[in-house]
Amino acid sequence: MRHAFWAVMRGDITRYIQRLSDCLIPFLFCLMVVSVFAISLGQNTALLAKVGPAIIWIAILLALVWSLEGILRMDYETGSLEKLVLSPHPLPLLLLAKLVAHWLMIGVPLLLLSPLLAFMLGLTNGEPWILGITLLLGIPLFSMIGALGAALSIGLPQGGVLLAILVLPWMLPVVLLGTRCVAAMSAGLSFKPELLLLLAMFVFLLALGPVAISVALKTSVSC
Amino acid sequence: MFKVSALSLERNDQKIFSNLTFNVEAGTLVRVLGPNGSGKSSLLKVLAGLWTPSSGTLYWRGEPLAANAPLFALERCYLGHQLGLQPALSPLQNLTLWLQVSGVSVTPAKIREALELLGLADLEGPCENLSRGECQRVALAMLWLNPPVCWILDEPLTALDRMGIEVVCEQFEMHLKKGGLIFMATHQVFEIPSPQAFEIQLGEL
Repeated sequence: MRHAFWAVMRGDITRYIQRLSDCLIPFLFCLMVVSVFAISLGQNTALLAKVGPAIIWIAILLALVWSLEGILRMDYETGSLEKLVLSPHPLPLLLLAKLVAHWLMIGVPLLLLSPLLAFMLGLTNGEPWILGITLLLGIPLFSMIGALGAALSIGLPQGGVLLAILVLPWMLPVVLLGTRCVAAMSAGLSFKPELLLLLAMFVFLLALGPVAISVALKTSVSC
Repeated sequence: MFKVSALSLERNDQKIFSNLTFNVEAGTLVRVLGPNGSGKSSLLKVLAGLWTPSSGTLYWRGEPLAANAPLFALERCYLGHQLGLQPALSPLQNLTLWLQVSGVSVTPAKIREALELLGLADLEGPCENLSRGECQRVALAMLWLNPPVCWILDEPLTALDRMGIEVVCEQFEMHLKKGGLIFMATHQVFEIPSPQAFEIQLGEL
């Protein structure tokens, strides 16, 4: 079972490396969006520092949304998903391997980019740190919510646009908690409640997300 | 070995097939015949456990499939119209991945050997550079590297050349002799000496 997990993860990582553009586009998109804000609001540093965390969160959210379809769509078209569904190994485990690969190849680069984004928007003191910590929880949350949406919409044409409309409202609480965390920190308040809520969401979805995705996927593949 | 009773499938309010009943023993080659659109692929998907039938029960080794699912998952291999190969991965990487997923580990040397038997030269380049026939060979090599008992194959010979068909038919024959079971949808006429043959004719309802 462990071997199958590693095999699926390695297969996906190899695929991402072969198509490096899939990893680079979210990265560059995020960088561009934040640059545009930084340049256009450059004179107003006070405003920039205030809205900075929200800009970074939204840029990362939008960059990720377009990559989420790729987790499952191509496997659906090549018939690989049928193979995963028919495997004697538990499907949630194999899907978790795919999510981990997506996180490593697309999520982690965005996470590593966040200090630079914070610097561009003039966030100071501990803000980049707390931003990084919330993103550490937030990016996997986006992946899991998005994969659930992708699994539900996989049999439909025009999945990409539909998927974005479908999953964005569900990702809103994550963005809200993440930005409020940073805002609380810069206002000198306690950010613990928001962070703990985010952590609770992460643990909840880590436990139930892959199972929910596998149920949705089985329904989509079998009709 | 594989028993089907009163199997029916309806999709989008359309009857695909109804009331199929048969019982096949080990060592049987089951050909699923019928014109295009008669539901051959659908029947194979139901037999593989990918689709749930509208009514009827499948039995594997005497027990209903629902109760026997983990064993059946290990013992059947389904090869659909879409071969399930990752275009960005090489034939070697693909087979290593899918053998692991289907629950067996095979050494790279053995995989290489199986691919060479099928006459594939480029084992390291990505599968997207291969022709349909070559991809089909890679997908078929799965079958004899991981010998599950029940093979469910949707048009396994369409894109193969004469030499490919010969190699594949030889493997089919060996599998049947060893007591395997093959379900196959096909339009091609070819001879596999089989002690027991069985035909399911669809599209006459």
